[in-house]
Amino acid sequence: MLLDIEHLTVRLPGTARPVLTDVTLRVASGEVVGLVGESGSGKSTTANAALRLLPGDATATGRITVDGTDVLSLTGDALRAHRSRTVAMVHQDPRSALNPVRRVGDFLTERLRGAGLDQRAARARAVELLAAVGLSDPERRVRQRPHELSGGMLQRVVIAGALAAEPRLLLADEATSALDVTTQAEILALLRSLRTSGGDRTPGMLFITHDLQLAAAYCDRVYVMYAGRVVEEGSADDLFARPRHPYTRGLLDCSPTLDTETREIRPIPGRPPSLADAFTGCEFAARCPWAEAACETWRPEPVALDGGGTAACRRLPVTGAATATATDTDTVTVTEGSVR
Amino acid sequence: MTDAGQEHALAVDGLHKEYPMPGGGRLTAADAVSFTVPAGGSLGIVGESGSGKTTVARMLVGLVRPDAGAVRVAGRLRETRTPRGASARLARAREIQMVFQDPYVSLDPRLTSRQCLTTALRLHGRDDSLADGLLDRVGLGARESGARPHGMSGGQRQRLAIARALAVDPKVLVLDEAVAALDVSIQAQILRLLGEIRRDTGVALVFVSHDLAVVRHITDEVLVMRRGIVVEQGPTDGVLAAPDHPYTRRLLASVPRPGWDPAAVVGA
Ligand SMILES: Nc1ncnc2c1ncn2[C@@H]1O[C@H](COP(=O)(O)OP(=O)(O)OP(=O)(O)O)[C@@H](O)[C@H]1O
Ligand SMILES: Nc1ncnc2c1ncn2[C@@H]1O[C@H](COP(=O)(O)OP(=O)(O)OP(=O)(O)O)[C@@H](O)[C@H]1O
Ligand code: SF4
Ligand SMILES: [Mg+2]
Ligand SMILES: [Mg+2]
Repeated sequence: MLLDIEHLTVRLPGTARPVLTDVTLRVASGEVVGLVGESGSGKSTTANAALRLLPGDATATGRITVDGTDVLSLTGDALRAHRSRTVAMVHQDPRSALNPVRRVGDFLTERLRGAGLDQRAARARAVELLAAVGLSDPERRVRQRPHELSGGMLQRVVIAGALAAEPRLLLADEATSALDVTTQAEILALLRSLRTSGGDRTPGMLFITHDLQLAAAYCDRVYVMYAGRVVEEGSADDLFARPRHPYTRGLLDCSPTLDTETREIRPIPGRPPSLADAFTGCEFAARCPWAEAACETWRPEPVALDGGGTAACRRLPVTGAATATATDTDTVTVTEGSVR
Repeated sequence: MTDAGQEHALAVDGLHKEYPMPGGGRLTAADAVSFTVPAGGSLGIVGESGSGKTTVARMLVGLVRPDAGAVRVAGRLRETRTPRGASARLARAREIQMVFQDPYVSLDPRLTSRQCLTTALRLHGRDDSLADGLLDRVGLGARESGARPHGMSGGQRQRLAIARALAVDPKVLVLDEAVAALDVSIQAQILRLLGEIRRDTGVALVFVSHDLAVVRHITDEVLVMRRGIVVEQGPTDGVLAAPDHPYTRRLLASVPRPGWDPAAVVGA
């Protein structure tokens, strides 16, 4: 297994609950794995943990390995090599990754020199990389500065930088969220093309997004997080067609789609919890249409689903059946009252 | 497109705006933008970044002065200049209100939610006591009514911004990416709220968004912009189900859905 996170729990001082609770997540070589959830659910913390980039005062239990290396015990040069060569991260905002006063080419050559190339070779490779990520006129681009490029172009530069060290694992944290849909499609096509590139060293990707539709359309497998816990895991197709955890269903039911028949949007009541909210049982109970008193004291654990995947809900037989009657009273049609 | 003789809540005719470009020359941010919205109706403006959506929204409200074109609210022409005199300015504010993507910057950090609303109500000569109904209307409870902006979530702040806009009892509500920064579960709550408000109050909505699925759900008519030009406009269902313009088709093809292949979009 390329990335193997097992029972990872991360605590921060002064908070009522862990940032991550018992997170188990895997990414195989060549796999695109989605990590979905609303703001504050712990997606970035999970990705950062794979880089051993947790807040200084955090305590972590559990195990993270990348390509067999135990990440949580890495220090010194080994940790630096892990961060600069084995794993690469692409964030939402490319401008935060690039020095505004330096040339785009310097950003790349610096990384390439770090990976052992001499200046000449690094410069040539930088141009190749910019061409590979689909930037026109790469010889000219290397001399440009960030403000001369659009957001989509800059994100390609950052991806070129991520590829410079030929990483085993790519962490994409909302990497396309700030882009136009058309540019997003281009970058996603580019990212997906990488996994067909290199034999048994084919990289794997953890693809973080708050957009369940996007994860379902783009990834092989998807993990759904809520309040620091993985509540459902499964193949993207299954998760989308047959969501089992009430939260996954809720996310799908409240996301507008382009479907031609007017599908009702059913908002999930309440709001995602913060680290100040503590729980005695299932974290989703206060917002869940299937919640029972016993859910408030049930310690969630993944339950295997027939057909693969898991969901952390004690009422799976019920939630697996047809539709939620509990939410019907709450049903609204946002487009109703059309005045045309 | 419109019934003769019917008075529109909002009628926009030939709006045009150019900006000087840094290296010389001029950029057309919006050209020949015309549309109408009936009372209780909802119009979406979609397009990629830089297509001119915000420029149009800001011209409606009067934050950007158009080079040409006219905006009428309930048949009355809006002056392109902000009028002198407090009462004329207030009357103008009652025509069109705007809600932005980040309500934080437009809310006074010193005021509680309730104070924010009573201030707006008083300014427009309306009764203070309407504040509680407005808070209730947008789903803000007792805790939030006494909270200041920094003590609320993004969704709660957006509800407050909507309540404040409604405090003025406007004819038209312009929302520029107003749900873009919100979690989907909160976005759905706000979309539902907007649907209810428009049904119950008859306010006309202009909904600016880059999200076609959201626009599909909240609008009756849609305007597709590209580089300042309206490439297509018409009933939302029709335009999104059977787009005429290649650009609209490309936008639609870019929206992720089951079986979607981003590479096919790139090739298109
Ligand atoms: N350095 C930190 N110190 C304190 N709290 C933190 C820190 N980093 C993250 N948190 C908190 O941990 C929780 C999880 O945060 P995280 O950034 O992992 O969420 P996320 O799922 O990536 O959210 P988003 O979609 O908003 O990026 C949040 O409640 C956040 O406020
Ligand atoms: N004050 C200004 N001065 C110069 N150019 C401007 C100004 N405001 C907007 N523009 C330009 O006008 C064009 C349209 O911008 P606008 O903000 O209306 O686009 P938008 O569709 O709202 O984009 P986004 O989706 O990124 O918000 C852009 O090219 C922009 O750079
Ligand atoms: S355990 Fe209970 S509260 Fe939690 S998701 Fe399942 S039904 Fe809902
Ligand atoms: Mg994050
Ligand atoms: Mg805009």
